[in-house]
Amino acid sequence: MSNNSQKNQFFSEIYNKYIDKIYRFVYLKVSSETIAQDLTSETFTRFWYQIYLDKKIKNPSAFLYQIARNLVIDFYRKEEAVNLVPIENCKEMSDPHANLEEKASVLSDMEVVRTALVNLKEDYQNVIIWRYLDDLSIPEIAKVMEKSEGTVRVTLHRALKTLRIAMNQG
Amino acid sequence: MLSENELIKKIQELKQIQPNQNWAVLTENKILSATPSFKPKTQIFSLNLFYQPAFAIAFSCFILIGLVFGLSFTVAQNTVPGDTLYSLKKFSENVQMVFVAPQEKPVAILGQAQKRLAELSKITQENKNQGKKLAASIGQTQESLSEVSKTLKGVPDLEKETIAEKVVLEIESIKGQQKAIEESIQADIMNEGQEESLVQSTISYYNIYLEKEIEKLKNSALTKEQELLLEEAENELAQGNIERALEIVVKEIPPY
Repeated sequence: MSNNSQKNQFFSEIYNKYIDKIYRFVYLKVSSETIAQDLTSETFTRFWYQIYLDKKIKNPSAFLYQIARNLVIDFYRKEEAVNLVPIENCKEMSDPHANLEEKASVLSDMEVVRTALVNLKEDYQNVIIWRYLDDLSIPEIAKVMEKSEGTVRVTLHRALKTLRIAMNQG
Repeated sequence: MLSENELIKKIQELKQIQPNQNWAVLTENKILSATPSFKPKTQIFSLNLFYQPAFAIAFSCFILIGLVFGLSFTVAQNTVPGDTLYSLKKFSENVQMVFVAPQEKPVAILGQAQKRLAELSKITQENKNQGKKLAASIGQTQESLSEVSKTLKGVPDLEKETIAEKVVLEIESIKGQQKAIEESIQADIMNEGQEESLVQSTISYYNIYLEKEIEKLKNSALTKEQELLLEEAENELAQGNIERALEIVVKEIPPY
């Protein structure tokens, strides 16, 4: 991409295609609209920087998810360092055995799924989000995770099983 | 117990989570309008080059050669004629001489001659059998002193005025070193022709220097005895007896 208008056009295409997905991916992990907006904005800013510098990006979706994941990890590290983790943002601090049906009385169905989902380990969360929310194919998930397709299928199967158990435990 | 399909449907309800559309549009514009701050800095030397295998090998070789040369040059500075690395020392001196300003060259050549004498002195002080080194060192010293004669002769008269004092002091120092070495090895370093050539090339400098010194002394407050000595120095210089005139001016008249 030699000129700026081509770069802008390419960025806009990718931005419009992935903004909802990346925002949702981040939001599900941080449970805060403001933080999700900040981290999503930073993800695309870094992506734009790469385009502007003419860096070759073979797989924009894998690149964006990777940046977003790293930013979420950094966010939790910083939060832990200053000991200001909101209890709902920290899965380690939330009670995995909490009665989800009780919560459901005040939370919507959607919130129940979200709460159960964020209590899964990171790989399980990611495969479920990518497969059923972002509609990525198994080969695409394999590329993002840098794992074989077989491993992704097994991980997805285990993730669903764990989520179902969590949902039914309540 | 939820079936897998029911579970997936519930998960897909989360698709309702979407960013605020106004925020999304504004963020896109904000990122794109921030272009100037992302302008890459002009890199004179890109670090990415180091990740190119060919460049890395070439760069490593360059550094290695540089280190070997650097080390050799450092070691060579302590060598004397006849040592393996002595030619490197001479080479580095010749390179340095290229960068010396023409008016500074005579003094620099005199400095080199002093170095040759110092090497010769070092060899004579070592008790080992240094026959070959001694011969090589005498050869180097003769060559260097011949270069001194040649250079000093070629200096224009006007420039001689400026450097006369420095040249005389250096020559006197050389003579002192030469005398000490000759006593040690019981032999002359230079043959008569070379000696004569050196004397001839330095006469004008001695004359200029002595005339200036005598003039300075005339304007100083001298005792009667010093005035007589100064008169004697003038006579000696007029008769061409530079050695005696210098002795009087430098050693006998001071302090004044």
